[in-house]
Amino acid sequence: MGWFDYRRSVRAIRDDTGRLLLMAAGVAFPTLVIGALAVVAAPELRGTDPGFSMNQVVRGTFAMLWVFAVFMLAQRTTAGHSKPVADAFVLTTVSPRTAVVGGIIAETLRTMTYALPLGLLIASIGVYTFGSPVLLLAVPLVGGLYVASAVTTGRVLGYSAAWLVATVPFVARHKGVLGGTVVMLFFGIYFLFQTPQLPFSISQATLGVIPTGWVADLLVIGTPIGWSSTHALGGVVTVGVLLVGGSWLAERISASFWFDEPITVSDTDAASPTRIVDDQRALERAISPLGIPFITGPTRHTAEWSLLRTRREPQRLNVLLIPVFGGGAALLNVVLQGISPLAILGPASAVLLGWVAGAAFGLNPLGDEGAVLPATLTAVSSRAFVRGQLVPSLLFAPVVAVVTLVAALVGGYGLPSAIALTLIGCLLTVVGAALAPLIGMWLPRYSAIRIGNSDGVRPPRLLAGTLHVVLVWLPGAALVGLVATPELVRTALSGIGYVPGVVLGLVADGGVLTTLASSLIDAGETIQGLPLSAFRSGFSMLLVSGGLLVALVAYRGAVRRFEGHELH
Amino acid sequence: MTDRSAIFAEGLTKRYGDTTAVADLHLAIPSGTVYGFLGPNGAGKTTTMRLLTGLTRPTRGTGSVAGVSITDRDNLRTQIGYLPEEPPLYDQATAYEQLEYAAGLRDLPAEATRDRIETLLDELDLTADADTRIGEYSKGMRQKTAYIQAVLHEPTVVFLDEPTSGLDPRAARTLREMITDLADAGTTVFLSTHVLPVVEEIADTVGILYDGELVAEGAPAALEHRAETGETRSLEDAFLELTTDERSIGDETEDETSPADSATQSVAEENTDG
Repeated sequence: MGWFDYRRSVRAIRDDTGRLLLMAAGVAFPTLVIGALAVVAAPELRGTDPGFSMNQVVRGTFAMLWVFAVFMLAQRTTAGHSKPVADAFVLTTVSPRTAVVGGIIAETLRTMTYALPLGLLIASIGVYTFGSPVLLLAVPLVGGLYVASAVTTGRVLGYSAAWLVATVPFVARHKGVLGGTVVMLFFGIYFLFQTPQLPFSISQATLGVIPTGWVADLLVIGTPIGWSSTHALGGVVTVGVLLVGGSWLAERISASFWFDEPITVSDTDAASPTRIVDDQRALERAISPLGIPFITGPTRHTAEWSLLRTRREPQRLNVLLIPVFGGGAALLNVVLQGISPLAILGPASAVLLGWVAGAAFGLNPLGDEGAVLPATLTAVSSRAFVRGQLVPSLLFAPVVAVVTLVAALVGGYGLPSAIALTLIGCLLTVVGAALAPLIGMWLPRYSAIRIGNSDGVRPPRLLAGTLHVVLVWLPGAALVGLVATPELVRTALSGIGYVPGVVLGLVADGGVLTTLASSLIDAGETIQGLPLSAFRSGFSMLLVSGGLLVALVAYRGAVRRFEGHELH
Repeated sequence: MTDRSAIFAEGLTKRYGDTTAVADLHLAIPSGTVYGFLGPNGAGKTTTMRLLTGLTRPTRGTGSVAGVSITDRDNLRTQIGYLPEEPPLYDQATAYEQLEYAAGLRDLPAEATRDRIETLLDELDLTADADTRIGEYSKGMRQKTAYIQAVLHEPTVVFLDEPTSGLDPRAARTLREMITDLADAGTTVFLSTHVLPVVEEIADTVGILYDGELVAEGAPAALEHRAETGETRSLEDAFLELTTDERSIGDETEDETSPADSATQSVAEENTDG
C-alpha cells in the first residue's frame, strides 16, 4: 500500500511541471551549496585527523532539524493526509494499522526521495574525505531511521490535530486562528534556536538532550571523528520506540478519527436564519459587519461571496503565512545588521500588508469555484467576476494605509516620507489585487486540500504564490527603499548592470562579449553617477507608472482568460 | 428545421488531440420541448452539453441556443440554465445564500427573486433546510438545490445532466413534473440521463449519442418501433442495440438496415405521416 501510494504521488508530481521545478530547485540549492563547500574543504581535510568528536551542539542541531521536519510533516498530515486516499475503499479493505503504516511508508519514501541527492553527496564527500566506505551504509541507514521516525511522529501529531478538529467544537470553530497561532509560536521558538546572534537566543546544544539527534553519532562510525556508543545506541533505541509506539498511537488516533462522524460547526442554524431580515440580503447579512460599499450588481455579489468564503474557511489564508515568515526572516536579518527594528516597520508594513491584502482573495479564482465553475461561467460576465475578485482586496487598502502610516511615524519617518510609504502600501494593494486573478487563472489549483474536516479548501498553487510574491515584493522593496534608503537602491540597481559586466569582462576575450561587458559596466556606472534626487524621482515615477500599467494589463488579461476559459 | 430552433447545431465537432469527442453533430430542437439525450458513458454527452452551453469551443461546426451563437458566451448566459452532473454548489454556503448569490450574478430583481426562491424551495420540500450549510446536505438535497439554481432565472433553454440522480422516488417524481411544467411553459429542456424510464415518460424527442455520433433520433415511440420487422421493443432494448460495437450484426444476418438507420427512418416516416 505504501509503495502504491508513493508511486501515485511521484506520478502526480511528474505531471505538474511547475511543482516539479520548484521541488528540484529546493533540492538543488542546498546540494550545490554543500557541494561547493566540499570542493573547497574536502581536499584539505582528506587523510587528516580533524581532532573532533561529536558533541551536544552537533546532536542538538540534528535534533533541531528533526523537530522542524516533524512539524512540517505533521502539518502535511493535517492538511493533506489526514485520511487515506480513496478512504472508503481503503478502510473497507484493509485494517487501520495497514492504512497507517502504508501511509508512513509512502511518506518516508517521498521524503527520502527528496533528500536523496543531498544524502548521496554527503556520503560521497565522507567516503572521499575520510576514506571510510562504511559511510555508504551509515548515511542511508541513519537517513532512513531519521526520516522514518520524523514521519511517524509527524503522523501522530498531525492525526491528533485532525482528531481535535473533528471532535472538539471549540477547536473546530477556531481552527484557523489556532492553527495560525501554533505556526507562529513554532517558528518564533525555532528562530530563537536558529539565530544565535539574537541577545535572547538559545544554544542548539540545549536540544542535544533529544535522543533522536543522537543518531548523528552513528554517522561517523569508521571515520576519525570521535563518537559515543551510548549516544548511538540511545538514538537507535529511541527511533525504534518512536517507530513502534508512534505507529501504534497513530493507529489508535486515526481509527477513532476515521470511523467516527466528525462534529459539525456551523454559524447558521434555524435560530438565526440567513434569509432576508429587515430587507437585508442573506449574503449581506452573512458578511456583516463587513460590507461592500458603492458597488452594485453581480460584482458586488461576487465580492460578497469571496469575503464570506474566506470568513467561513479562514484556513485558506494559511498559505500566506509562508511568505510572511520568509519576509519576517529577511527583516530579522536586516535588524541583525544593526538597523533599528522601528525604522523598518513602515517600509515592511507597506510591502507585507500591501501584498497580503492583494493576495488574500483572488489567487486561485477558478480553482476556488470547484464544482461550481460551470455554473459560474454560464452565469456571470467576465468583467463582473474579475472585479468581484479585486474588490475584497481593495476594501483592505484603508487598513493597509492606516497601519503603514502609524508604523512609519512610529519608526521616525517625517510626515512626507510616512505618506509616501502609505501610498506605496495602497499601490501595492492595488497591483497585488489586480495581478492575483491573472496569475491564479494562469496557474490554477483545482484539487482540494483537506484541512481538518473540510474537503473543499483549494489554496493557491505554490508557483502562483511565488510568482505573485516576486512580482509584488521586488518592485515594492525598491519603492520603499527609494523612500528609506535611496542610496542603497541606487547602488543595488547599478550593481545589476555592473556585476554581470565585470563577470562577463573576466571571461570575455574580445569581440561582442567584451563590448557587452563594457556596456553593462558603463550602465552601472551611469546609474551610480546619477544625482540622488533625480534618480529617486525618476525611478519612483517609473516604478509607480509601471505598477499601474501592470495592474491594468493584468486586469484585462484576467478578463480575457475568464472569457476564454474552457472546460475539458 | 432552421436555426430558429431553440437548440441548433450544424456539423458540431470537438476534438481533443487525436480523440474525437463529438463528431459532426446536427441538432434542431424546437422550443418548448423536452429532448432526451442518451448515450453510454464516454459517448460525448457532457462534451455536447458543454459545447451547447458555451463552456467548450467547437473544433468545427456551428450552433446556437435560443438564437444566440454558442461561441457568444456573454449573450448565451441570459438564455440558458445548466445543471451539470456534479451539483455546482458551495459547501460553505446555505441553500438560501447560494440561490440568492446565483440570482445576484445574473442581476435579477431582488424582490421577485426572493418570492421565486421561496416558491421553488417549497415545491422541492427544502424550505426547512434552506438555512443549513450545503456541506451538510444529502446528495438528493444538493441535487434539488442545484436544480433550483439552474431554473431560477427562468431561462429559455435549460440543460440538465442527470437531474434525478440521488433523489428519492417522491422527489424524482416532483422533479419530473416540474420539468414537464417547464416545457409546457415554453422552456426547452435538454435532458441527459441514464434513467431511460424518465426519458420515456417526459421526453418529446430522444437522441442517442454513441462514440461521439448521433446514431438515432426521434420520438421514444418511434425508437421503440423496429421498422424492419414491425416489432415493438423497449427503449432500453433500442438503446442497447444502438450503442454496441455489434451494430453491424445486421450486415452479418443479411439485414442491410442498421438499427440507427431504422430508427432515423421510422422517425422520418412518422414526420412525413404527421
